[in-house]
Amino acid sequence: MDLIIPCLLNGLVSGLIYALLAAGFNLIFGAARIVFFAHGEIYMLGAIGAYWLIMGTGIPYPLVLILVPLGVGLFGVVVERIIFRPLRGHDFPIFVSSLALAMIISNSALLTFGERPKAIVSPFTGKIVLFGAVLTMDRLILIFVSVAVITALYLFLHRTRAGRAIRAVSQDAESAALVGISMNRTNMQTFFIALAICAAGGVLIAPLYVVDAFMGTPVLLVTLIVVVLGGLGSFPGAIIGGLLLGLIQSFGYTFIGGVTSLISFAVVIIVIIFRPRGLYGRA
Amino acid sequence: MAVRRISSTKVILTLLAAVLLAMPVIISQDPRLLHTFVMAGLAIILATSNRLVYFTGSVHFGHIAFYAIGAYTAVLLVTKLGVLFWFAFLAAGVVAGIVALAFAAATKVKGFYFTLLTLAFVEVVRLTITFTPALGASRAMRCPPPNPITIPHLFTIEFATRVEYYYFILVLVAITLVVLYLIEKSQVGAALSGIAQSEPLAESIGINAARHKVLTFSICAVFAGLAGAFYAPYATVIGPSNFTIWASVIIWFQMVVGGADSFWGPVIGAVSLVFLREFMPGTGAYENIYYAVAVLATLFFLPGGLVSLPRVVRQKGSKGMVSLRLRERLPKRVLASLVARREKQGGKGDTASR
Repeated sequence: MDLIIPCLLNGLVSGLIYALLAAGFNLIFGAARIVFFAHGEIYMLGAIGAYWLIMGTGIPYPLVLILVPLGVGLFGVVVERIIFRPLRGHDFPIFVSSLALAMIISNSALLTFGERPKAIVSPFTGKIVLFGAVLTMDRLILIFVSVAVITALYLFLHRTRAGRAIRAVSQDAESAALVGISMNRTNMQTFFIALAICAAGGVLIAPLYVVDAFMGTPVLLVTLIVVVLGGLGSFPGAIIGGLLLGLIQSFGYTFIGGVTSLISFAVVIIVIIFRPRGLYGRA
Repeated sequence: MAVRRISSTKVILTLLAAVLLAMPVIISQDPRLLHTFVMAGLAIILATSNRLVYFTGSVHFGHIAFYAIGAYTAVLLVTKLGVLFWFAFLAAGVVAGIVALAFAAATKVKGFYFTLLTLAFVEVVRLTITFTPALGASRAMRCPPPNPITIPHLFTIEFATRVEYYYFILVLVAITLVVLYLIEKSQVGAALSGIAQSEPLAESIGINAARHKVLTFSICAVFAGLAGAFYAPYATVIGPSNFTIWASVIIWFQMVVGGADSFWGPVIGAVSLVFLREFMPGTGAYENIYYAVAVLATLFFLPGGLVSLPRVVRQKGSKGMVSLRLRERLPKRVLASLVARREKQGGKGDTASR
């Protein structure tokens, strides 16, 4: 019984990160119709960026949390402009080039960062005790920041002109173009936001665990699981799916061990076969 | 005219076969070159068989899973049950084919979900290996070399050096190419191509699309399984780290670089990328970067793959090798200067200068 609360908290922590990643992935899939396979590597880029800035320059963590997502978001804008925009409308080349991009990022990171995992000295000390479970400060910050980011993203998508434009494009790109929404601009904004959020996930997770160049692929696979569970392209699906998978994994690893990862994939296969649109996906 | 064309193709193929048969002598059994040829052969089998699934219009990402199933079937049969390698080799193909048949029959999804499904399948197979002690878990499994082939009073082939493996893979590649070529050029191939273009239309003229796709999928898996069963003794050890999704991605890269729309494309792509990998400086991470850059370059500058190079050169000879899509995108000024430069160089030696 003593394990229940820590499991819940751990599940919440990883679930929120999954939700951030899946929300970005779905945003890109919805607005730009791109299956962005480099999403895991972008997350790794965020974590490595945080490592370099914190350990190399000593920039305070809150500033890192702004600088890294900003930088990675700009990287996303460049990538959209030079790789994906010219290929727009050609699904298969887009798919293959996102894989190539993932491969280039991860292997470049491997060459510059090295193979061995490195740990960030957590900039935070202190912890609080919640229902008998210890919650360290960095986890607490992760929870607050990711909830804030998800809320901000929701408000952006529903309350602002740019956000509504992105949603319009994801619903029907052609009609959106008819009423004067620029596809180029929404795609650019989508890439900036999605990649910045994804990198923020990496920055948030960096002080908790070690950082290495291989952390992208498992996260990409987890994102794909969440996205399938929640429904491809759905914002609430990404959040609910992320939290659900975070909790399932947290309890699974504690009570049945490593086989949990295998079970997650088996569940995905079953979901695809019997209910491909997931929890919230459009039919 | 047409007769001459066919005979010239035959001459080229015969010459190629002769050169390939004599290759160990030509390169005086250089182990590194032989290894490169063997790896290229494996890549050809995987890429061409994966392409046949693409030929039906599905983006199949799980080829490496059947490769893994083949490799592990062979290793288990040989080491645990003491079966003769050659039976284990055939069994590996059969097992991979049966698993693929069951997999494809159970899953009738299409499009992007099919791709995701096959991707998940790769992870399921890899993680199953990792969590099963009988399959060596995450540790590597050893595989002894194939049993010697003995013809009494004539000769014995022992798999002691890479030369024997070279001829083994040569035969395997030849069988694969012949079978896949015959399928593609047959009535079945026409049906598959029809399914790729429009499934409802194909069904309207009486083609059972689902059955065709399932069968194609499992035939392709048989070749992946055989390739895996070859790889196990050749590499001597196999482990789950050989069979990640990135290994699957590399098969796709080879298809795209060569040209996935043509039968010979994957062959050319597989060979050129394997040789690129072996003869460029650096290993590991560098190899993957070469692959990825080669793929991006292909997608942007030669969307039809290497196999379309002669055609592109012929068509746009006098205007240079700027591909059609790039041409549309280039600013008019840049394009004009490119064309002007070409014209200044003269229209005759057009392609040679590139």
